[in-house]
Amino acid sequence: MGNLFTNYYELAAMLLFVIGFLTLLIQRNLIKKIIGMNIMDTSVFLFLAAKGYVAGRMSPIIRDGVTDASLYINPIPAGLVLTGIVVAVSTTAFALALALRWYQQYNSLDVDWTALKYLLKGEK
Amino acid sequence: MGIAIIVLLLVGAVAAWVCKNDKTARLIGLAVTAVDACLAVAMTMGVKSGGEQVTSIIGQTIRIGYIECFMACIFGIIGFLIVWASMSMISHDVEQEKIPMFYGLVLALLGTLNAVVFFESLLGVFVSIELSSFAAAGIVIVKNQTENVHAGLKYLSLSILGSSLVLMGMVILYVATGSLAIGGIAAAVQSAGFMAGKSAYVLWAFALITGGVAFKAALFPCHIWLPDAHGTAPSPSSAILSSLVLKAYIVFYMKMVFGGVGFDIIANSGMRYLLNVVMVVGVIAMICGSVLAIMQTDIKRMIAYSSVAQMGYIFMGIGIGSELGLFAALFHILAHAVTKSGLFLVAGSIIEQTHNRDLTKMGGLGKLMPITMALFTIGGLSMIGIPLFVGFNSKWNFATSIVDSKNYWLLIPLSISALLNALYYLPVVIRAFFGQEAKEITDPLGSKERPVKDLLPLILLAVGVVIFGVYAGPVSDFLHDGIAMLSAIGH
Repeated sequence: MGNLFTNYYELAAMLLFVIGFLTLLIQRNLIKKIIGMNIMDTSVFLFLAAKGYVAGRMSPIIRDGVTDASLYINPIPAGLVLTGIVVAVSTTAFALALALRWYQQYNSLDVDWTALKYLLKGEK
Repeated sequence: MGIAIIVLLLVGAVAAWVCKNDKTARLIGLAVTAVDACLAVAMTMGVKSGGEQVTSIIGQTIRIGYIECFMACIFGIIGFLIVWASMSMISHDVEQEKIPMFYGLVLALLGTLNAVVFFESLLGVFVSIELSSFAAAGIVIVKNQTENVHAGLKYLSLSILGSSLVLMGMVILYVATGSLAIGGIAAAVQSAGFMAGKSAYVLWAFALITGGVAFKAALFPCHIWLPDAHGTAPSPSSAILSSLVLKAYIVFYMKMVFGGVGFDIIANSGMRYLLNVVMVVGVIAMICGSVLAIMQTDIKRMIAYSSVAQMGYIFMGIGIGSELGLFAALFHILAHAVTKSGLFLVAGSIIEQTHNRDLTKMGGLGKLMPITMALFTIGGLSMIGIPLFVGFNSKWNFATSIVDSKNYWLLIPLSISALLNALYYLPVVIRAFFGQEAKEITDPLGSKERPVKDLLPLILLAVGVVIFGVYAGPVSDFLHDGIAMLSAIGH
């Protein structure tokens, strides 16, 4: 697998994944949580794109009638990235809609659990 | 046939959503799940006489073997019974104008779950996993209370984390093997000399996929979304979520591990260590899930934590890594699906009739709702593992697979876990039938039983618990053949 310096894309992807993951888990603000989720998704896309790239080859669109596959980079990870982006966009939209509901109910985007319990008790 | 099932459910989903009328939506839901159940049984007959069916759609391969048929039958028949039971229950939990949306989401969820199991190409599996997590979060949030929004957000974010990990694992496997289908991966992994050079790739890929599936299927430390989501959702949704949704991801994982890598290589490579970790975590989940369930006072949260413990059993079976272990895990999928859907629907009936979720205030309930509590007793006894009920067969299978694989120490947590199950199901039953009557629910006195025609699907599920407990031979043979078929992929 080579060492860390030759695989710096993977290293960056892992760092971004951890940053996104921690933002998702630790932040109390819902919007920041959703941003963390997006960073996490982006890191996976970076990882996929890096895995599909082969230095010195062309993007996978047939040019000048050259059909030799060894001259092009691998299109399948790119296809996965596109699918993943579509999924990430819909997830973000769904999560933002939920955040909106949350805000309408509480006038706050804070999801601190103790505060929530207090509020729920207050409702009854 | 497989494509027909997926398309039928998705078209039904759109039709139920668009129709705007709650009566029509109920009818569409009931009719489509009934046809789905018939198609699944017909497909099983077809595969049994004609062998594996391999088709492809939009460039993605669909491979229907015995295990896929088994899951399609569970999704079809239990999905139909739950939807039938929801006819009379759903208006208690969901506002009238949201009912078309609920049935649309349920049908979409069943369709995507079938797709998760059917697809052999990993891209199709990934897209189906994502779609099913949206639909699953949807049927939690459809109740439209604040705690549902909180549970839905938690569920959604952890699901996305899980599917990101699964996607990363799939890509590493693709880089190593050059194939995005389980058959191709199996062919590459089993070719001579592959594991000698590239075992690190396979291990990393499966470590990531295991992590992702652990989040999706609520393996113990990653279960934190499950009690909220299953505890607050409308009762039919809870039944679908715990008996069907978790299982689809587990079957995907089984297909990846035992179809994509195979038993021989697992026994002789680093995969053995990974599966040992899965086994130990499964054992911890069995114990901790039950201990957490004992601490609950809310009936639905207790049943939800019991699901965490049952997922532990299934992962322990996978972690044993032998054919008998896989068989025990698959059989437990059936046992848990039949029993837990019944238990959640019974809990829903109790909450609907008495407006009480508190376990400590259920004294005397057996006199008010004798049939409902009898069904709860059957479910509880099956979960504990009393003979004559399906849970016993399942625990027996686990015990034989443990003895077969010579991991004798696993028998201790298995029996402790059965005792712990008894510790939280039996007090409810004893209090309901023999305990002091609680004023909260016995006032005013009089039968609170729901009409038998509404209870019929619940009774059918309980009959299923007993039938599979007494007469499990054909299912067992079918599953053994299915495992042989799964391990032959790629040869």
